[in-house]
Amino acid sequence: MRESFLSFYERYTRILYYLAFLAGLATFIIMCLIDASALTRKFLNWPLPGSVEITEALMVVGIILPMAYAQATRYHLRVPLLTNHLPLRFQQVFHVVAMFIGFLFFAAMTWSAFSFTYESFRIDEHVWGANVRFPLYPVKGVMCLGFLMLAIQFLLDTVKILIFGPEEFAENELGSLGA
Amino acid sequence: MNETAGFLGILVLLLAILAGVNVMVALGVVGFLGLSFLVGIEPASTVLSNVAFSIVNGFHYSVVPMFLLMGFFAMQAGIGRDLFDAGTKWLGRIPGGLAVAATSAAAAFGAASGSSVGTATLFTKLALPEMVERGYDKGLASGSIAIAGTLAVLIPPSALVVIYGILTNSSIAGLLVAGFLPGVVFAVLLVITIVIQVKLRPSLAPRYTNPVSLYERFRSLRLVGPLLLVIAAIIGGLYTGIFTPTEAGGIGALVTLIMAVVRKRSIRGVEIGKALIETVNLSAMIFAIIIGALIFSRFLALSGATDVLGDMISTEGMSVWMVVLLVTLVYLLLGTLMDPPALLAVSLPITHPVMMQLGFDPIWFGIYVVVLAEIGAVTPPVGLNCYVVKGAAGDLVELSDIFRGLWPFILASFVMLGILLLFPELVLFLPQSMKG
Repeated sequence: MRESFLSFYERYTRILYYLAFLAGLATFIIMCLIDASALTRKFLNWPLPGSVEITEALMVVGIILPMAYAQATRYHLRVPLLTNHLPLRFQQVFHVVAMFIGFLFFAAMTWSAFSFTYESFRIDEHVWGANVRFPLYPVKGVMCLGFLMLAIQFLLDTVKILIFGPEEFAENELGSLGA
Repeated sequence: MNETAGFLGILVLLLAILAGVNVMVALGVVGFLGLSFLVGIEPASTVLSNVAFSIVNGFHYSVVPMFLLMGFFAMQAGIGRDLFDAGTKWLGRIPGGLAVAATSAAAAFGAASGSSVGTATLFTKLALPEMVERGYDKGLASGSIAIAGTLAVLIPPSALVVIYGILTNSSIAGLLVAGFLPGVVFAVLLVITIVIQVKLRPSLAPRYTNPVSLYERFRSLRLVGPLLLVIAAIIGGLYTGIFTPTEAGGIGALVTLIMAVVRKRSIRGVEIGKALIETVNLSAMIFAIIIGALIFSRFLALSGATDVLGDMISTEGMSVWMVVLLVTLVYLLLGTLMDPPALLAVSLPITHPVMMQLGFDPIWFGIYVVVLAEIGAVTPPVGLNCYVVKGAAGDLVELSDIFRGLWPFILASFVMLGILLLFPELVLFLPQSMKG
């Protein structure tokens, strides 16, 4: 049971890493687009067509997709100052509750983003730039996917702390400090 | 009734954060529950994705990942070592020369990296062993590095200043330019603090006596020169309106990437993938907090709690100085418990509307708050930078050495706060005279 959960946890983290890598690529493309547009605007008086609209769409990929990986690698900030002097058992309880609240909140965010995406799809919403036009629902769908992955990560963290107890919790906290 | 919900929300938020709920989650959950109470669950649910999408889909906010990327590439380019070498050659012979060199180099490197933690880590590894080896007092050596790291968030380009801009809807270009003069003055204050300490107690830092020729000095600028030029170009470009902040970030990231490639003599030597993963992880953390903070601030604004707070201050006849003192104390207290981005996210929905109602300038308040957040970053019990220096130094120094060495610099930080209060023009002069 413990081994199969850990194996699943690691495989899930691997998927999150690939999503984060995809987000990194989007960020690199954003840099190239901004630079190209700045140079053509300055020297040719001709901003790169569609660069603003494409950058905006890529920003969603670059910011929301890696949110779950950031949680898996303990980048998201926690300040458990009231509880970190309690006995480990109590710390574990507080941490489990904190992770479960995280799951509930991002489940709500996922539901909200899903409705947002569905509405965009239903009304056939498009981005209208001077030279580009593309549907917006895939971009909003990426946001929905990012929140879903993060909600699942919070749920997995809840279960992980429940199964592995205070020792594993202490190890996680060190990871969080390192970040 | 609504105001009571607002005040209750603030209390629950603080308790939830200190009980270990992730900062972004605590902000978001309290904001969502508060909004649900005030306007119903359906409209509150709509706010969640509307707020999130309007932030992550904003072109201007791409400046945050660009500045972060610039910082990671700058670290890969080994610019910090070059700056410290140049600083040692130019400033090494004055009292406390190595500490002065480390502070000046950290200020310049911080301008490129924008990361307080990154700058403190790097200079602990670069400068601390040499200072300790040459007989510097461990407190002076480690304390000067811990505080110098904080210059990174003041001297533009700075991601923390942009976060303030996003959270308060203030001019990002104005804020970035506004940080320059206070950053330079703060760096000079820190250098003066080092020199005074060493003058009073010469045993703190044995004099560096190796002669350095003029040729060697100018040669040391060969590598740092281009970086200083880039920083000057970015600040100048923002000031004259040639660049937007987003363009400044994009160009800065590209130039530091090119410098890293030149330094490593091939693109393969530069760990671009690692820099990108670090960038997106940090961006995700920052934007998650911003989204949570904006949901919370919608709730707070709707509850009217901040208006009540502002009215209370006005009707009680509290002087402006008392309000500033109160805000300063609150930030200093919270700053010792929280990281700077979290501190801004939690506090600004409450303090910003009140300060604006009292007639403070949003740009001045931004710089003042950033300095306060950074004082918090070096003050116990959390004092993130102290732990960062301790972590990077290993057994070379104890945490108690760092805290002992920091007190003179924390006093210097209070002098800096006084300067900002007495001479707001130091902050406002550049943004008020900038073009574009």
